[in-house]
Amino acid sequence: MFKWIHKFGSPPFVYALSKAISPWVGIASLILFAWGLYMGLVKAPPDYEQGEVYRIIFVHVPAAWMSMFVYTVMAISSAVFIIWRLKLADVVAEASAAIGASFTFLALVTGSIWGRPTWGTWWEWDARLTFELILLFQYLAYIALRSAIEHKQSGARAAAILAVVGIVNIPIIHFSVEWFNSLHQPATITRADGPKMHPSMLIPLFIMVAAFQLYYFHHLLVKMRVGILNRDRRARWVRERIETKGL
Amino acid sequence: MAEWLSMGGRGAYVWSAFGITALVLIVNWIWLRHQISDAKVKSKRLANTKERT
Repeated sequence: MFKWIHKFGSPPFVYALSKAISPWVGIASLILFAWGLYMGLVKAPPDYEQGEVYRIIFVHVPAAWMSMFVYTVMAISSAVFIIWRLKLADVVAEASAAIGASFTFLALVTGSIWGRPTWGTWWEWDARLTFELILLFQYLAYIALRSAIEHKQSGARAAAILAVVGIVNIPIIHFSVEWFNSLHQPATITRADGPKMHPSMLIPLFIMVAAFQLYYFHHLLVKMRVGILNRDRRARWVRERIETKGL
Repeated sequence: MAEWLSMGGRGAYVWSAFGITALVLIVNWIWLRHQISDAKVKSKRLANTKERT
């Protein structure tokens, strides 16, 4: 019944699948970005407290959510790599690191820009901000560790362990606004009693989150092809694919 | 239009946040295209070398 799952452990299958669907995922992401930006920058009304500056939410929140989502993907795929030695799981983790670091950087920078007019400061050693900064260091440490160890297998394994151990930071970031005295706004969307945001703002936010998600999936699919080619360059299936389909 | 661009006097904050986001996403995409192109070239070069030998 689950035989089809095994196909996702096959590099030629994943390569062909990625090549087939990544353009469509990219186009869908572009459409959602255009729609989300129009809805968020033009159609959504100003906030009664913050005025127009709240619109930074439409890039800050998606970037922050993606920073945590991508790290979770990285940690889970690293765990799969460690436990079952599935090479494609390591490809997923490696492919996710740089883009995850980019999202974390964006969350910090857009948050800082938003903080200046609202909190009166570019930075505060607030719990959420500090743990998000630690998350950025975790991504950078993962990338650096992989590059630092000459033997690729050892580097991959060491980085995978680092990624798995670091997952503890994700719930800390999420619950930091509840656990600590935080300057950062508490949850308005992921609440037990439902979102506290008006639909005119909530819908553009969800569109932008979907756009960021699809951007990540497009990036992941293409980066997986890079990882597969870098590892399997000498494999016969690559030579056969070059002869029949030009790669 | 000018009113929309000024974003209630907070235009510098809003547009710099969106601008930096767009820049990072575009640069990432360009870098990605470079990486896949480079990987393909290296694979084809290796395949051609093996054919000749």
